[in-house]
Amino acid sequence: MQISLACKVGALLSALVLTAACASTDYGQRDAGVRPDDQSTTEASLWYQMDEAERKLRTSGSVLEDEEINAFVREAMCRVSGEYCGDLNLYIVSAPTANAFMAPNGMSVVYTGMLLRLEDESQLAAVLSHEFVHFMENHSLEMRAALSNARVYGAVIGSAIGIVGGGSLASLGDLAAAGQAMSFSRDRETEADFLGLRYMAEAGYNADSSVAVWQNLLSEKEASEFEKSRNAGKTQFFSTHPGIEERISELDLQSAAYDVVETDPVSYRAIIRPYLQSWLEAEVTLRDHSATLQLIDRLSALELDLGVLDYARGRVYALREEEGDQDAALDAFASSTGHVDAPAEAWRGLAEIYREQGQGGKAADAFERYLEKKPDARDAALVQRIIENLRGEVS
Amino acid sequence: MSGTRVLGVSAVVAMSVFALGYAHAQTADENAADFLLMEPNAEVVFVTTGGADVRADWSETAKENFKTNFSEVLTGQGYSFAAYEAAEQPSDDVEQLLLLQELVTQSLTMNIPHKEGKGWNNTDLTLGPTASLLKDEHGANRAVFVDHRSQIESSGVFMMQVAIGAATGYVPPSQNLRFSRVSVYDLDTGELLNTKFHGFGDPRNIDESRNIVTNLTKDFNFDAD
Repeated sequence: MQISLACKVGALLSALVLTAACASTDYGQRDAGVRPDDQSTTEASLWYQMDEAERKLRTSGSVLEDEEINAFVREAMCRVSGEYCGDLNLYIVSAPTANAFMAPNGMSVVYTGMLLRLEDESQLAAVLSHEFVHFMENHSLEMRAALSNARVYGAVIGSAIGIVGGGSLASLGDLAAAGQAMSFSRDRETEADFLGLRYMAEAGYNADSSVAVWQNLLSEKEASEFEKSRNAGKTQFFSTHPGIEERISELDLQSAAYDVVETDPVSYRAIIRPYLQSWLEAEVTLRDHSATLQLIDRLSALELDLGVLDYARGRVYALREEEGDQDAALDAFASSTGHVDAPAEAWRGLAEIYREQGQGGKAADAFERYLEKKPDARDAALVQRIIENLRGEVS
Repeated sequence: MSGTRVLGVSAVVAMSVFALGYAHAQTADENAADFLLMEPNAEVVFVTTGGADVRADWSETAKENFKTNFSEVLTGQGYSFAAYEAAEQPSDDVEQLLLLQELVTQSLTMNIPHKEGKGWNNTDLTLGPTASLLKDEHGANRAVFVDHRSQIESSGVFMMQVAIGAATGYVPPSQNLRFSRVSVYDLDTGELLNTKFHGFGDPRNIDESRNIVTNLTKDFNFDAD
């Protein structure tokens, strides 16, 4: 098909008109307690969609409703967000995901996988204040505008390439525009890091803790058995977030400006303790064994909850089944049973290994301890039958 | 087949029909309204050169227009109905039921070979017995659900399509879309009783919305079992 020069020039002019219509990407700071008035705006659209998403989340069955832990996280959120506290609705979501986010309507989500990885209230404040900056500085709205502009630029550049005869290369326009939008996103993340640091420090938290959060996440990432996890964020051009090493380095520099505040990891552990075993179990089942072992080792450094932590370590080895893992699992379960907080399941773990090793008597003893510790276990009848069989074998 | 046997089979069939009718009379509450008109689930998306936004104002207008027009239709056909009003703090069970209905609506147009309808109108679907929660809360025997989705292109998108077409010879397809559906469920059993869709009209406009509703309810059997 032949296209006349006049058509091409017209197309280019149309494209330039469209480009001129690109949206501003600077929405400034939002005011506390304000919802969008004009329902025809992009901001109202975002709120509308997020209100719907929040309704679904609220009744999804995945929200942790424990009053104590919700009150604790909400209090930290309010300390860093000040007058905006009333705009934020907290949801703690039960999922082994090291993440948190705040939507433009104030829906604030913290995953239990993140709470598990934090070591004290200051680290929690670091996460929350970073997310709060996204909310207060209208980053979702700005990112929406940046993506919108990128689409227009992509189409215009692609058309221009098409006009000069490079039709097959027209998608380069989209590529360049997408790269620009991702760069915009990384800038907003950096802003959230720096402002978040300031808000948490002003709220009386230890600014250094933000560095610790990222260092811990980096250690786990490096230990991961999954190449995708290890390589995440390495291709900066298309990353929405700056690299973790870069963030650690920048936060380390910035946090030096603030006074060091003493942290209280023991109190924090007390808050999450009722869920420690179930959250760890969720991590174990992800089967990123090396990363989970790294996490367990780090959490064990506090010398608390060793019965639960050793049991989780045993579960990792038992599931991994590499050479020497059975012995390692046996050691971990045995170590767990030596602590007052050992879960009943640690005896079952021991019993199963003894049984596999043909040590029927020891297996039966351990199964019996399991039932003593947990008489209403769901598998009690099955375990009782196994014990009877094992006793029959050894007698 | 002998005459006696025919008579016997007929009697069994007649008794079965009677039994079914009796069962229905037992479950349908005569003091309850015929229908519960649910809050329409409408989403009107504005497609611009920069992307797509669910327009809050347009979606809300569409919902209001559907409510008004369906109320008129039900009244016009002599049915009693109650308008659904969400509780201040809706129970999780009711919210889950409404989310389930959204999924069932999506399933209506899926190709599910073992269901009746084959693709566009799977009718062998149910919300399950928890649908009776709506009956208990709102006192109606059946529920009318209205689902709508529109995508409306901006003039900028049109210009862009023209520009791309002129520059490259390829004109991107239109993203305009209109889809409305009405579904009636039995609030005792949760079974989908009847459903119909219509693919035209702009629900933001009260008159066009009325046309959509007229088309949806034309020859539509609200009493289907």
